Amino acid sequence: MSPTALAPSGPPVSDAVRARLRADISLAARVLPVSRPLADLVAVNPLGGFEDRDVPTAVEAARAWYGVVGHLGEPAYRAVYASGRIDDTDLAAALRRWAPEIPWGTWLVAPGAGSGRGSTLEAVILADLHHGEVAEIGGRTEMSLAEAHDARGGAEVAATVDAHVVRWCAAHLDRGQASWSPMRGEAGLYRAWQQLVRHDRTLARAVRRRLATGPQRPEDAVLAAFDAFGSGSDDQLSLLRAELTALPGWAAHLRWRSDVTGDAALVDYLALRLSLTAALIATSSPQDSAASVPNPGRIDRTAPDPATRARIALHRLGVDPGALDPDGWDLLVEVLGHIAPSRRPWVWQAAYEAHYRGGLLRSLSRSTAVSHASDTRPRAQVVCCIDVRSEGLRRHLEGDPEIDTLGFAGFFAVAIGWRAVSGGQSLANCPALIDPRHEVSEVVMGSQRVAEGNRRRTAAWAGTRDGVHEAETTPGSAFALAEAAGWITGPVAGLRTASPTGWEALRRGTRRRVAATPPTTVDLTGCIPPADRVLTARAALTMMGLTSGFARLVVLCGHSSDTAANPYEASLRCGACGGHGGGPNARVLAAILNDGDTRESLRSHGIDLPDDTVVVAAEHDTTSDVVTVLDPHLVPSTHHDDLDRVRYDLDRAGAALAAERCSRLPGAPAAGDDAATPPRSAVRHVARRGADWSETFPEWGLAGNAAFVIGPRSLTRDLDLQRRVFLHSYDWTVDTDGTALETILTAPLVVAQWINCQYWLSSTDPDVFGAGTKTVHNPVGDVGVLSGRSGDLCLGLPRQSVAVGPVLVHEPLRLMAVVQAPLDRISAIVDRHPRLRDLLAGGWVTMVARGRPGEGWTEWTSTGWRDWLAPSMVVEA
Amino acid sequence: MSRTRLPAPPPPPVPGPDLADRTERFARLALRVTLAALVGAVALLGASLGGARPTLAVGFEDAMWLGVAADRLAVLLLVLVVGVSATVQGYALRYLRAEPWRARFVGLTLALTASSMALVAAATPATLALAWVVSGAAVVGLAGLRRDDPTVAYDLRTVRWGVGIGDLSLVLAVAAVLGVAGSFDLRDPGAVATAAAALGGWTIPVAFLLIVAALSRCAQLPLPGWLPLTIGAPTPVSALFHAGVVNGGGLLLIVVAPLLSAAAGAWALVALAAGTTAVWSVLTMSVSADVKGELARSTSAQMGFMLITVAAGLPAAAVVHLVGHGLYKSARFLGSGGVVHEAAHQRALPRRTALRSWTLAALALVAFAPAAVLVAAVSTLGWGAPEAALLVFAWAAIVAGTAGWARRRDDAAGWAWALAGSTAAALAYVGLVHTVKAFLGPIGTTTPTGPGPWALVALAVALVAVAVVRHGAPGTAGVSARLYVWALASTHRPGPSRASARTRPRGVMAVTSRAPRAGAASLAPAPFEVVA
Repeated sequence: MSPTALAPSGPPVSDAVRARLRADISLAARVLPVSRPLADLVAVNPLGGFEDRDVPTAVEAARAWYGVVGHLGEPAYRAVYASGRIDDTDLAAALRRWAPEIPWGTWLVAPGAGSGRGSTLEAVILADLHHGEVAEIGGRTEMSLAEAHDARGGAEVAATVDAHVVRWCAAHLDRGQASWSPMRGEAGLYRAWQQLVRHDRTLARAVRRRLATGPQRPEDAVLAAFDAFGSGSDDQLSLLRAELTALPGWAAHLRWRSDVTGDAALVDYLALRLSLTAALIATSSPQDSAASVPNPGRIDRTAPDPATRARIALHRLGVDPGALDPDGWDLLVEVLGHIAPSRRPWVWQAAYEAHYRGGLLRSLSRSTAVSHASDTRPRAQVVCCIDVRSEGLRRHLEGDPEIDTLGFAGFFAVAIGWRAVSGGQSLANCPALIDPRHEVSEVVMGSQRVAEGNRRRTAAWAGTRDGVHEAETTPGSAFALAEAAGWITGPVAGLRTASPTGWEALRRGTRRRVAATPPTTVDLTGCIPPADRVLTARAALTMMGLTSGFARLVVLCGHSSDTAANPYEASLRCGACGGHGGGPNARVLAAILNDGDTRESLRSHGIDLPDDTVVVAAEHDTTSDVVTVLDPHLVPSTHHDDLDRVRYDLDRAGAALAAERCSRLPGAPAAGDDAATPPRSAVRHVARRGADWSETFPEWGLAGNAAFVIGPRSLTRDLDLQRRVFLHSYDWTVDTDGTALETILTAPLVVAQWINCQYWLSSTDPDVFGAGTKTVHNPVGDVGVLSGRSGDLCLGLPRQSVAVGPVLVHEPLRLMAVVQAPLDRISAIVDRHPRLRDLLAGGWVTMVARGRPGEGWTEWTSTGWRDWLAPSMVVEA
Repeated sequence: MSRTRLPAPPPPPVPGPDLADRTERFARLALRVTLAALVGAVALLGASLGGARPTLAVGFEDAMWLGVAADRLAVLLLVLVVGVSATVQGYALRYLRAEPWRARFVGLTLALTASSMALVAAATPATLALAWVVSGAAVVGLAGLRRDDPTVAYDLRTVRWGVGIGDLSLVLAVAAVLGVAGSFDLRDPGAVATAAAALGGWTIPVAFLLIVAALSRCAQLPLPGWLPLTIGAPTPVSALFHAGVVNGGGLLLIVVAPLLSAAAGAWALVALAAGTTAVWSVLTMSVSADVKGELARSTSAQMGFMLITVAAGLPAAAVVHLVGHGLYKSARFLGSGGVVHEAAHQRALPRRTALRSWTLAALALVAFAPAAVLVAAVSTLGWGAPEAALLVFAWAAIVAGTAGWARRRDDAAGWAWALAGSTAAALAYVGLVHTVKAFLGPIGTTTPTGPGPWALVALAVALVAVAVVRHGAPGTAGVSARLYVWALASTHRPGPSRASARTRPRGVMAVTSRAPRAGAASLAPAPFEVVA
């Protein structure tokens, strides 16, 4: 064994150095997205760690680690242009928004002067946008030590390191899939690994010996590895980032586990990774430096210089470059120099967004609906989640003018840990931004005996499944189980495939007959103190602007989605409820609002819920568009007729929505055809999609999301917003001190922005921040999904969430927030919240506002409010 | 009051059914053909109950060269092969919608189904070899559907080698047999025995080649483990592989059993390789945290068990296993995406109670009931020692299942249910095996000169040892750690180096970042599909 192969025994490491390393690791980990387990999946901005910069800068910074592109390719934008979804006025508006001070309309060559045609500055820039040579986008340039070693031409190490790390991470992070996993729950991954890795015969003996005698503490192991490469402590941060982003999916999940559940630590991961890298490199054969290969992420080709681009663009326009006077030429070259080919896609992106936003704001301005809440009492008020899919349900419900709808964050302002009647652990049913404030349990109504019977039936149902599982995983017993069980599961698989709805009905029917759940309710006593109930009720009603004019029936409609064999089921559920169904939250708020004492206290705060108003909870299954009324047994008999009518309305609206959605679902009866599917067959069809275990496109989720409207429903009630807009009800006249708006802008808006960014980057960067095709997904328990047999954990959304084959269905547009509220109130809130300010200033979210109906739209900029520059106005100017 | 809706910006276009319309029609046609074949297979099953044995043959001079025969073994396997293929194709109709390689999937699936049908009914050595080679090629084609993915392309080399070595061995064996003994009726054990006798000194090399072919198809040690490498293929492909393809090895050994019995040590070799694979795969399966990896390794273990059953002289039991496991495993693969839902479901249930000592005592008492049923079955049905050894595994499954139940229902009523359930399970199992045995009639009649029940006993002992080590019995910590690391190290094999992985075009979707190649004209038509 060569002396270099011995573990470095450097000077003892001080606690201060270790503390600095730990601090550096948590700082470095900010480049990672937060990757929650699949059962609790909520959308996050994968570039969340870069939100303090403007979008193009953030994407360029992230590119070094991830190779992220962040926008469509220019050929794609040009094709969008050809399809009419971007036009020249949008491009002109985008240029003017980007740099209002440039004289875009300047004639570089006056029309009629000389032999050729005239041309403005803008026309030449547009010609460059349309025809300029497409820039090559670089990949990941910051390399981990193993990648750098490979790039220098050494023996290949990176693939070995990655496979080894994946193996141990999977064993360590798995939460119940593997039946033999001594590594599960092992707090110190590095120490445990160091004990075991000496037996790993896929590694050379020298490597194993070096690893076994390495430092005992993970911090020391990281530092020892850095020492071995002679890397100073000044570039420690970027080295750590490069290591963390080598397998960003695993690292991102580790980050969540170390932050939230605390059963894993990034320092252990890095220690494992780096000490293995160091050992492999130290024991590998000397490198052949002559064979070095260039950094694969770097681009060697230089883009054409601005003067060349100017000549090409002028040629395209049929203008002789010689006809320009020197000043005009200099101006043109300078402007082209600012719009480098690598930045040009951002102009396209801005134009793409301008097209949609202009259209939306025009429609909003034209909308003349007046709130009729004042003149007649509505039959029912339905409060839905802000989710873009609720827009469709609300629109169809309002087909009956006696029904009013409102939009509100789907957790209904009750941040709860929810313990279902089946008796398991409590689930956080609240946005990822906050922690549950109360533990609420679902309880069986009726005697102790009923509850005990239910417990036994649930246990029997679970015991049957557990028995099969036990027999599947016990050595030896699996043989006989498979050969016996197959004679049943085989025909069942045939039935499930031939008739998914038939199978679902059979399954549910059996469950109902064998282990029916008796009526349940939520038990507020002991869970939520009365004072908190009043506080919650007041906050919720004020925030949604519903403080008077209550209907006889107020329906709080959360949403969920049930899909079969779909690892990404939670991505279709309510993001405000932690990736779970919103039904429990609706039930809790309904119980609070029906509580007599709470109503009494609310009256003293000026909110008078009449005695004949009953609050009912419901849940909208967004895949089947069935809205189920929850706890109907709690509705007093005086309101049964009202409830029946509302149920009818919900069924009708759900059917109409299903028919509308069918035109855009691949494989639906009328897919691609705007001639609507008859509601009855649409209802059957979408029910099939939810029950079908072979359906990879159960629904479109929040694909298409592009805007967030905060204001009264009268702003949007006349509009068909195509399920693309988040809607939060807000009435600034009710919100006297502005706290409601402050909450909306800092919580629901941020959640919507995360969702928007998730869909955007899953569309533009399917390999980096998207999860690839579902058809090869290989779940690692509920931890995450591998694409194929091994490799990194997938981040983001699968391809089937945003595209059909090669065609994107989600238009990657950044979010526009439209607020109807006094401008100074908005500015004050933005100024108080630096994170919100960063989002707006960086272009992650564009905010447009007006004080009252009839006023023009103004846009928030870091230098003050500016009139909204609509594309049509550019042409008129 | 009717409200007029103002136009808001329209949504982007969505591709309609005309996208890849021809592929859709092809897939539907293929499914219809397969369903028709299923109806035919079921009809044959009915006919075989009446004693019919339709054959179809092409002969030259007086010997039959190519031919298929629908005896009872063949029709049972036909129903399995065609039934699974129909289910998988129906599943893929929606599952693979919009995948660019869908047409290739349909074509290769048809080829695999047809060749598997010919394989299970092959009545001559040449038919067997032909069907075997075609199905092997279809397997490689299906495993490589996504070969534009660098990892899949890299793994495909091992798959090709792992499957190809078996194909080559079988072709050589069949060529030798045909050269020496001429063609004969493969479904007639007497004819096979006669051919084996005619082989003379060739018997041992031919038997060896046949064993290599069977081990290769069943993904057994010491041949390269190709099966876990195919999980980069889409889910329906895995379902096909694990339900149909791997069974070929078992069928081959059952059919040529008389020949292997004539070669000294042949069955012992099969038992050794299969037993080692079964134990090793149980280990690697139990350390796999990824669902498909776990299922794939479990298949290798199951096939090892099945081959041992054949070696122990229980071909009918092996067929029960082939069919049952095929149906089971295809369903598990098709539903593999459900594990996340299942994990969430488990979370919503109370913690399971631990198995305390008195629970174990109760379990031991309850375990007597199925044991009694199984012992009674052996004595009344006239089953021999090998069958008795096999029933130990069934008993283990029933006891393990009861233990799983007892951790949820540890009350008196729960134990009553456990007693009733385990007895019923034992009865059902005996009934199932008895029915299939009765249906098949005598197959592989020649008594193998093999290890007999001892192979099964040895396997059971090895598995008990594995279970003891796994549960960390005192004094086994060192062995346990070693075994764990060895097993773990066989999972997540390194893929191709990153440098080669980087060469693939960035962006799966044409709509995204497909930048033109360096030097390409910038005005080339955009690689973007716009749906009008």
